[in-house]
Amino acid sequence: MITPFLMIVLMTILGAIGGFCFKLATAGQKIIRTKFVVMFSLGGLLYLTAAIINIYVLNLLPYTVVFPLTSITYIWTLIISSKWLDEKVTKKKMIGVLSILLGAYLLVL
Amino acid sequence: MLANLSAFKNNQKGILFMILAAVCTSTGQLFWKVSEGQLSWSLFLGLVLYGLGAITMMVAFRYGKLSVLHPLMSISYVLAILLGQWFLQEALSLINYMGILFIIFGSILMGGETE
Repeated sequence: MITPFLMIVLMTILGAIGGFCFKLATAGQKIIRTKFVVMFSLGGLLYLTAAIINIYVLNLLPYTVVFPLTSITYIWTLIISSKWLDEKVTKKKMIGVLSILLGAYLLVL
Repeated sequence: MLANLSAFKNNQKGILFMILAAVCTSTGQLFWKVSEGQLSWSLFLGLVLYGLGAITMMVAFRYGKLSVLHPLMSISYVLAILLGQWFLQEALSLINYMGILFIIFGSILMGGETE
């Protein structure tokens, strides 16, 4: 049984992986055609799926719940980019993302 | 220390493209909202703008780190809430304005990061 909250978690993970694919699509000075097309399509598909789940979940849960939770995406982005892109998780980034999460929550109070 | 100017210079292009992506995304969502999910020109236009936002975001990623630039998409939250106030007469409270400040603060922290 997939709960709406589990769907939100899934949506944010897909959004973050979609962003990661977009990053890979643009990596390197020379755009290698096959890699670009694959990563662009995959990223686009994931991004679109996340948007569709978002619209679907909005029918189950109030906007004020769904909206701030969308920013969980950036927590996954921090994890993914440190694991797969060798980017550091710095204190600044953590405070930045937490501040964004808090801000998103306050936006819909 | 907080606003590291040379870091901003480094991320300048990426930040500008992310702001543009946020503008497209939030405007797209406004058109969705106006269409109320009904098949219409505004829904279509909303989808086009949302897609344009994704593509602009991808271009931004060319010019900086993913962990720095991706969170800047949250600027679209701020724009969406302001657009809602301007065009849909949705009232904002003091707490909502605090939220806007927190998102801007977080975005400035991210934009000043090069690690």
